[in-house]
Amino acid sequence: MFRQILFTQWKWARLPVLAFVLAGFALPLLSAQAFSESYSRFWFAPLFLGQLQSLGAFYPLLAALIGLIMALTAWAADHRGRHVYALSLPIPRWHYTLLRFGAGAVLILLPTLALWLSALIATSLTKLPMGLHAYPTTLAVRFALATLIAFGALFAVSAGTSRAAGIVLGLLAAVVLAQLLFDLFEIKIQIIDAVLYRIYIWPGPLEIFTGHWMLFDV
Amino acid sequence: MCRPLLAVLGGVLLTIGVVSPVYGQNAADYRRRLDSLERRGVVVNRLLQARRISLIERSPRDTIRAGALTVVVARSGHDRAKASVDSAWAVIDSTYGASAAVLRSRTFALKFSGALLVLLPGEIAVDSGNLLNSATFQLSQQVDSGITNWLVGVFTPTPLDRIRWDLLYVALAATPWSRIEGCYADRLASCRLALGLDGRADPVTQWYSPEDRQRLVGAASSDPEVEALRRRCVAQRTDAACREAFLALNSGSLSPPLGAYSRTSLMQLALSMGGHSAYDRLMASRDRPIADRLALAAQVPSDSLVLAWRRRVMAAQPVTALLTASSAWMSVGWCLILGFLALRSSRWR
Repeated sequence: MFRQILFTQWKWARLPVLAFVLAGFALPLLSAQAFSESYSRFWFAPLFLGQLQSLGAFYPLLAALIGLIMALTAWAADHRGRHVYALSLPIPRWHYTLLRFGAGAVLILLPTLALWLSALIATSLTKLPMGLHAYPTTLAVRFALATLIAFGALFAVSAGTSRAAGIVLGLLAAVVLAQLLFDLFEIKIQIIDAVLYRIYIWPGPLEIFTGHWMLFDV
Repeated sequence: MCRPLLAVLGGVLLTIGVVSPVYGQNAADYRRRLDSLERRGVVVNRLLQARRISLIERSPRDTIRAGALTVVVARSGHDRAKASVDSAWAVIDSTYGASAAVLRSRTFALKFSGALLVLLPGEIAVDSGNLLNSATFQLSQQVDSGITNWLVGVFTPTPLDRIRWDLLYVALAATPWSRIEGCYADRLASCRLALGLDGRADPVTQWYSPEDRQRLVGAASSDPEVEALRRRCVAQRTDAACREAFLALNSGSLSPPLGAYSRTSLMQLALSMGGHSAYDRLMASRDRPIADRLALAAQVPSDSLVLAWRRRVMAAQPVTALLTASSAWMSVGWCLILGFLALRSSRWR
């Protein structure tokens, strides 16, 4: 059954997946090209590493985008068909959800593999100074984990009931509203900062997205 | 009816204009007006002076002294200023030692936003937070050309723990200049070249290899003559052509390969190692090569000084936190939690 689910999910998501494969393949090559250009232009190493760092912001963005699109496409057809297909299958809901999650995770591997392959090629083509090192595999593993986190979070929201999605959105809106009210009455409480801190700092779920994403580093 | 009347009126005015004598200013009038202007100038100056005195009286000031450093500040900013004066003096004293006595003849007026402070003649206005730089600038007036040519800039003292050794590590690890790559691999001679201690007799050849020179002349020049030389270098790829272009591009002074910050940090290290009178020893040895001067200041051989500098740089290797094990495992954990949350819901929409 997994093959059928994977096949249908591939049919729905093949165009975005191909686009993500291309983007994943292009990013490390662009990083290597930017590195070579900056290296010949800037004579103070922190400057050209800074250039590379700014390009590195595209890795987590791409990971988040892949997670978002794959999670939405995994459930889009079921939502449209009011889950008739899923209900007609002789399996419990958790099993069906697991198949959908697994199929999405397998499809996510494709852009990650493209990124890894491209990072290996870019590394082999770039002559690095003595003190710099390339991290193609670490970068690819981090990219895979970040994509899975984004996919998992949005898949969970998408798989839940409308009520669950409403609760998540409501909580977010409540945090923003509370912060606005605190600011309005000049009460020195920073809820958004505290929430972001919990989310983006270890052991928060989105910690993997933060920090430098560098193919080449010291 | 109106037009003839206007013509007559115009004629009368023209006649009066032509026949009346032209009024000119004679010397007596000119003198009288000048005297009047001078008298008014004196009055204005008195008023300005009175206003200035009134402003000074209305804005009471305090004098803060720390060692040779004298700082005046608006009374309302006294508490804020005291800490920064003490901290600036601590850095100046530990770096310049007895040479800092030059500052006794200067008075710095420290300005804070919102605190009125009227400057008196001879006072040097300084924005808050800029006292150390301003005092250092005064001290740098005494520095000889041997130091300034080597540093290529003004030396600003920085406590050793606040020097960005990590930036120097990156600069050394990823240097594009082949002659100094060896410094990263613990070759002392390369470090000495990188810091501009050696190779000053023929820097073009000693500091930069033929490949480096070709790279240095890579950028287009706005000067047509230099651009012609550069193009010849790029086209011919011979060292003679590139050397010529390189010299034309760097006609002023050629900087050592590792950047000014590395030399500032070395000088700071030498002064810190040499103790309170290190700066005096540095200044007293004007006629000696820079490496010897730094060695005298630090009271260690110049090789030991360079090795100590390199040790500090290498110890500051930035952490390459691309992916830590804890971060990876935590991500796996979050994936499982999120997956579990997705499975847990038992209702269809």
